[in-house]
This record gives sequence, C-alpha cells and structure tokens, in this order.
Amino acid sequence: MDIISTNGLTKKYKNQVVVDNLNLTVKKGEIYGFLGNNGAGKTTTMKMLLGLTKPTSGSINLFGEEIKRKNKLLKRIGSLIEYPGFYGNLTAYENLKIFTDLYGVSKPKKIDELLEIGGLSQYRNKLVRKFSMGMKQRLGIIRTLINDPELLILDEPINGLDPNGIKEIREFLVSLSTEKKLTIMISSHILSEIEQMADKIGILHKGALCDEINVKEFKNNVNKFIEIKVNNVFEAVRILEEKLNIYSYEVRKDEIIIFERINDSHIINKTLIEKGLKVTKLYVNTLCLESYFTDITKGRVC
Amino acid sequence: MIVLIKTELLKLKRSYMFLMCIIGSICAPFLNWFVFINNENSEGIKTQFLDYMIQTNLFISMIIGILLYGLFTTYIFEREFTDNMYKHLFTVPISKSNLLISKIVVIMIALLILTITSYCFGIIFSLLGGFLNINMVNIMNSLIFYLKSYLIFIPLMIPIILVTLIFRGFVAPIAFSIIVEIILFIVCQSKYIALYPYSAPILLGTNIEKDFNILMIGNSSYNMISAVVIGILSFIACLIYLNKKEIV
Repeated sequence: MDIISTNGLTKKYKNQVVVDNLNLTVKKGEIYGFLGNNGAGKTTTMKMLLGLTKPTSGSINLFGEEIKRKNKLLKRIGSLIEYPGFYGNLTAYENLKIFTDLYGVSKPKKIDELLEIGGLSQYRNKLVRKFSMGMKQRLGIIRTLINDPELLILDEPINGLDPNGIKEIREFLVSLSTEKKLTIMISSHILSEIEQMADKIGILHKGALCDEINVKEFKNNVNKFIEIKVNNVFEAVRILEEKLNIYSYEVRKDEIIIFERINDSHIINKTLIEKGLKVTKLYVNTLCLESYFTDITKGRVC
Repeated sequence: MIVLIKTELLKLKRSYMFLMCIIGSICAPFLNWFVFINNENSEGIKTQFLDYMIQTNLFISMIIGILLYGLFTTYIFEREFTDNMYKHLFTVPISKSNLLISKIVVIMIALLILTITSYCFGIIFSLLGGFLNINMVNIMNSLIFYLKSYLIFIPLMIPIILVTLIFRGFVAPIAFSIIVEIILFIVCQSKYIALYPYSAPILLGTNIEKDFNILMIGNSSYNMISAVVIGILSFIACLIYLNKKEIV
C-alpha cells in the first residue's frame, strides 16, 4: 500500500519553481530518504505533504486518501520540519504535555515513556531553554511519536546530534520501521546516514526528482562500474561497441568507465588483449552514494 | 476548546511577560495614588475614593491600557514565531480558528486579571491613603467602570493581533499601539472623541461625558459600536489570513 503518493506536485513562488512536477511513492513500512542540496525543494515538499504549504498544482495522496480532510490525516502523522521549536520557559515534560493534550492522548505514562526512549528521562524537569541543540533535536524526534503515528516525516532530524546520537537515532528509526511497520520519510544532508537506514532514496535537484534508488539494488548493482586503462582508447572503444555490444560507457582522459556487464570484466579484458591492446588497469570499482549524488546534482546524470 | 485554552495557559507558566504586565497594572493605581496624596499635602483637599478610582481607570484607559494590553496580546501571538512553534502547531489536528479563539480567550482572561489587579491595588492604596467614602456602593460602582473598560478593550486588541500576524515581531504592533495612542491623545481633546474607537474605554470606563459635559459629535455608543465592529472585522481578517496565508 502506498502511504505517500504525489502526482505532478508543483510549487511555484512567483516565477520560481521550487518543486517541479514531483511524482513519488512511499510504501508502507519503508524508510524513504530524501536527498538534495539546500534549496532543492525537500522542505517545501514535506510542508506540502503536511498541509503547511499549498501546492500550486498536482495532488497528494496520504494513506490512499487525497488530503482534503487534513485534520483526520494529521492524527496519523508525526512530523519534524526543520529546526524543532519549543517553549523555552517550559520543561521537557511540559512541552510534551502540551502536545499530548492537543492530540488527545490520555495515556498518563506516555510522556515518561517517550522521554525514556529519547534518553531524556533525567532532564524531565529541566527548562528547554537550557537544553543543548542535540537534546532539543532528540526531544523534537520523540515529540513526533506522541500520537503513535503511522507515518513520520522528518526534515533533517539528525542535524546537531553528535556521532553517538546520530547512531542511536538511526538505530531507533530503523527499529520503528521494522518492528512497528512505521513508514518514515527522512531528509538529510548526511548521505552516509541515509544510505545506512533508507530502503529507497529520492534525489531532488532544483525541485525535480532526478532519481529514485532502491538502496539494496544500488549496493548490489547500480553503483558498480569497470575502470579500464589501455594504450589506445579509440581502438578500445571500437572493440567494446563492435565486439562486445557495450554502449554504456564514458571516456575520461585516457580511461574508459563502463557501466554495464559488470560481471563480464574478464571477458572484456580477454577481448581487448586478444585484439592486441595493452591493458594496464582493469578493475571493478564501486560508486558510493556521495559520488552518485554529486554526479546527479552537478548535472552529470540527471 | 477547553484543552486548547488549558495548553495556552500552560504556555504562560514562568513567563516573565505576564509578571511584567502585572507590575505594569499596579503602576497605574500607584502613580495616581502618589499624585492624589501629593495634592492632598499641597492643597489640603481630601481625596474621594470614587474620584481616585475613576481617575486611575482613566489613566489605564488612556495611557497604559493600549500599550500594556497590546504588549501582552502581541506576546501571545508573537512568541509562537519566536519559538518557531506555528509549524508544529499546524501539523497537530486542531483548527486554526480554534487556535485563534483560544488565544483570544487567554488574552481575555489575562486582561481581566490585569484589570482586577489594578482595581484591587486601587482599593488597597485608597485604604492606605485614607481616602473618603470607601463604601460598598462606591466599591461596586468603580468595579463597574473598570469592567466596562475591560470589556471594550477586548475587541480593540484584535487589530493588534492582525498586525502581529502580518508583520511578525514586536516592532510593528508596538508601533501600531503608539500611533493609536498618539491619535487618542489628540482626539481626546477634541469634539471627535466619540468617533474614535480607541477612546471607547475612556468614555465607558469613566464619567467624563457627564461630569465635564464635554462637547462632542455623537455619544459613547458611537465608539462602542465602532470598537466592536473593528474587533469583528479584524477577527475575520485574522481568520482569513491564518487560513489563506502560509505563515510557516
């Protein structure tokens, strides 16, 4: 079942297109990583999903329903958009109490349970204005769980966390997804973190969805390529095309990068040598998500 | 709605702003007490309790009311911008209209507390000063004056809410309050007093209309009606603004 699906979602501010014809789907229980440079349109997209911003055109379906009766759907969503806000004059407990009351959560121990989950039990009665950035971020994340949501929309939730905090939050989000079948849409600039926790990654560039990557597939296939260095690049390219039917390649200086038939590197090597070429380098390389992202955002792929 | 009001009241816990406003509301009876005591000492005229109380209410209605109550009203809406809270509140299944109404109710409660504080301290200072005719009739009469001013102040605060929502921050609503105040000073000395909505607390909360038999176009019902109309129009504008404009 699609928890989120957008169709031609577009947002324009005056003449500037911030989100451009976005079609994405997030399935139940999936962790969807949203990647993009600053200003790519991630936050605007998330705001549109939450009804904070109205789309210029296109439609949004949440839990299979079009977002018309927003309040009914918001009961099923937890969200953290950009920097988490709190009332500084109130304690962590009181800040969460406001939201349990607003959501109508009657479970008396809910707040203490959440503080425990976020590792903030000892700061229960501490004023939030005395919290560090990381503590506020944790409090913001646990606040999203107050209403036992089915969908979490988190905009850069690991900003300001230390490495241990990032690891804890990552493990926590993964456990929520696997144990509670919670669907999570998360944006971040920390690509390695997204790579480690997401099932699917959408790369947004200048408002457009450039690519959607299934992380498992990416790790197995998509991110591999063969790098070859030969004494005659032109001859090698001719052989690749004519003898081996390889057309997905790129010539970079005196090297050839091949993106297909990754498992046939030995055949490529044998053919080139048989045709009298001197192969000085041939190996299967792995493209990390970061390089892939850079390639896309610099317009090499998208 | 009750829950929303409860949460709005919780947000005021440990709030310095409310404490400051309480202190501000004590200023009016104290300053007037000081003036009256000074007059007694210099001119030898004993102060009447009702005169002192009405003079204090005039001081509130004309000078501190708009600024003090306006400051508190601004705080209630502006702090959500400062604390970056609107985007969190609007992702909770509550309606924007209910949020607006709950905040107005909190302002009404707070303004009532501030009015009662001024009133009670007025009585305390009157007792301390030994003012004449402190009896139940005068105590009740002065309470009615204070409550009339309080009630008409509520619709007059709603334009300040609109200014806060549109301009975000303390500067614009405070500037607005100061402009309103300056016009009030000018209008109060003219025959147009009844035509200016912000002079309604003065005409309703004091007896200057009867006592001084001032020449004016219209009567106190003019500015009472205009104050209510302004309040209603501003409330509708706030609702439209909140629902149409992306304020996060």
